[in-house]
Amino acid sequence: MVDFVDTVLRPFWIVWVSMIFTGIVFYAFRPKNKGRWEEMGKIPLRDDDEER
Amino acid sequence: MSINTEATPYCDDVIRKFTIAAIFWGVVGFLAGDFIAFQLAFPVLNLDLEWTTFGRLRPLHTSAVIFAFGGNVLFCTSLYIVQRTSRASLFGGEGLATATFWGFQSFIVVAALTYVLGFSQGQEYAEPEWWLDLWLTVVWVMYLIVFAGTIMKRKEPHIYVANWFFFAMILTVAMLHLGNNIAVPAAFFGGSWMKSYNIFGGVQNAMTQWWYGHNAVGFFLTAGFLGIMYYFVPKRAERPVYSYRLSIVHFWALIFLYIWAGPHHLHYTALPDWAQTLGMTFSVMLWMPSWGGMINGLMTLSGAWDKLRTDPVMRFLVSSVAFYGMSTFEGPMMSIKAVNSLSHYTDWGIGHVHSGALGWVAFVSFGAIYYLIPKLYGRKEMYSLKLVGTHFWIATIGIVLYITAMWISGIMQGLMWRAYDNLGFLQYSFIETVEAMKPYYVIRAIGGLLFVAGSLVMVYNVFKTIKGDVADEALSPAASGAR
Repeated sequence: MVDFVDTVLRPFWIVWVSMIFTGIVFYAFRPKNKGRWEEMGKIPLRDDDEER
Repeated sequence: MSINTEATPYCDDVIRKFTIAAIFWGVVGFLAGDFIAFQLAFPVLNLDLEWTTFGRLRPLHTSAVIFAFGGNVLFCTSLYIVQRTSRASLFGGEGLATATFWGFQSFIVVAALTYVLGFSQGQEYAEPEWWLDLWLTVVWVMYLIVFAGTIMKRKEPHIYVANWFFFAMILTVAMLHLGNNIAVPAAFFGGSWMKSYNIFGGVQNAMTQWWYGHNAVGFFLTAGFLGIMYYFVPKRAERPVYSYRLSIVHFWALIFLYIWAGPHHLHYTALPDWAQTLGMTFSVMLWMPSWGGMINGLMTLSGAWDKLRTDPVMRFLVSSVAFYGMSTFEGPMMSIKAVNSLSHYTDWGIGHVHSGALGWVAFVSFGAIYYLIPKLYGRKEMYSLKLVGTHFWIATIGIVLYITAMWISGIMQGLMWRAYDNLGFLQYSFIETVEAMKPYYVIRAIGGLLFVAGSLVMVYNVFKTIKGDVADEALSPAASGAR
């Protein structure tokens, strides 16, 4: 395990960190998820502050 | 004194405390900054007293504006936002948060006293001695418990993006604070309890310091204040953020990149070349979240640009995003080694920091404060929106004077330092460069004075709002529409 970290993860960090990031971008911009994200963007406007 | 009826009973007493403290420390910090700006132009203002020399008042200024003003702004906004977007009251109730409040304020006062009395760890923005570091650690963990606890008891299934930014700020600042303050009290080796030495020496110490220092900018002053942007800009504009998807990418780009940018503070030093280049590369990549954030903030206004004309609070928020875009464009550019060889150690750096600190951090904070004060005190709107506009223009002119003066003097200073005559000797002595900068120091101090004056207008306006007064002009229809 430590060996794996030393010989693979450490020298190639830029590769797997970039892959994670690309995955996040893909996940965020996937058309299927669009509606869900737009709904979440409305959270601040849905809070119950307006009852004041 | 909750004004809610059937809504979630939020803990707002402590938010009011943090907001007022933010305003108070803001004015103190701006005043201290302007005083030392005048000291640079007129050294007689050092007063020939050890307690009032530039060297001791400078950390007082930086700590007051970053941690006392910025910190209290982050406390009041994050604890306000986390309750609303989670639809839950604070974890631990008013009690735990209030204990955090007093722990933090007393830390500020004691830290300021130790600076003036000459105690310092000698690490920029991490000047407090070891025992104060421990004190702050306790306070910060209490804050983490309040914030994370509130998120855990949320009724809203999703965690709104502003909270991600705040959470990243809290966790990273904890890590930075502990990492850069591993120090041994000199008392263990026959010295004083009031003095400690960092465990790292030489270039390791420098690297740890700027890993800390730059991420204090990246996470305390950027991530945290982006959390403010992602809540208050949509609230004030009464429309959701331009692209929630972009905000997710913005967040992760910032998280992945910022932590590596520190070495750009150490170009052409004993730090290994590869580390310098790494720092430069990651700094340049930071253009990505910079533009992501700016586009997202500004485009939230699309279709509502008229608010920029009618609502001075919106003007503060939007201008802050514009300054964010500008200073985070300038920063990566300055981190490029060729540019840095001219800009480093000159006043250009100070100008850059202040376009970010005054234009971005302070303006988004003012916008948030002007939004919060009427909400927290059950008023419809600020006492006078006209005075908010006055504050905006005085402060903006102050910032423009400040940063243009520092651009000119910084570039001039850098060019003078590297000028050779035809025999290969340096053309200017150091004191000649200082002399050449004097007019710009005066202009900068006047800019600072305007910024302070603007903040005093805010104090008056806040005082009148809390008192419950309404200025005559506020009765006109243009000033309504605030939520």
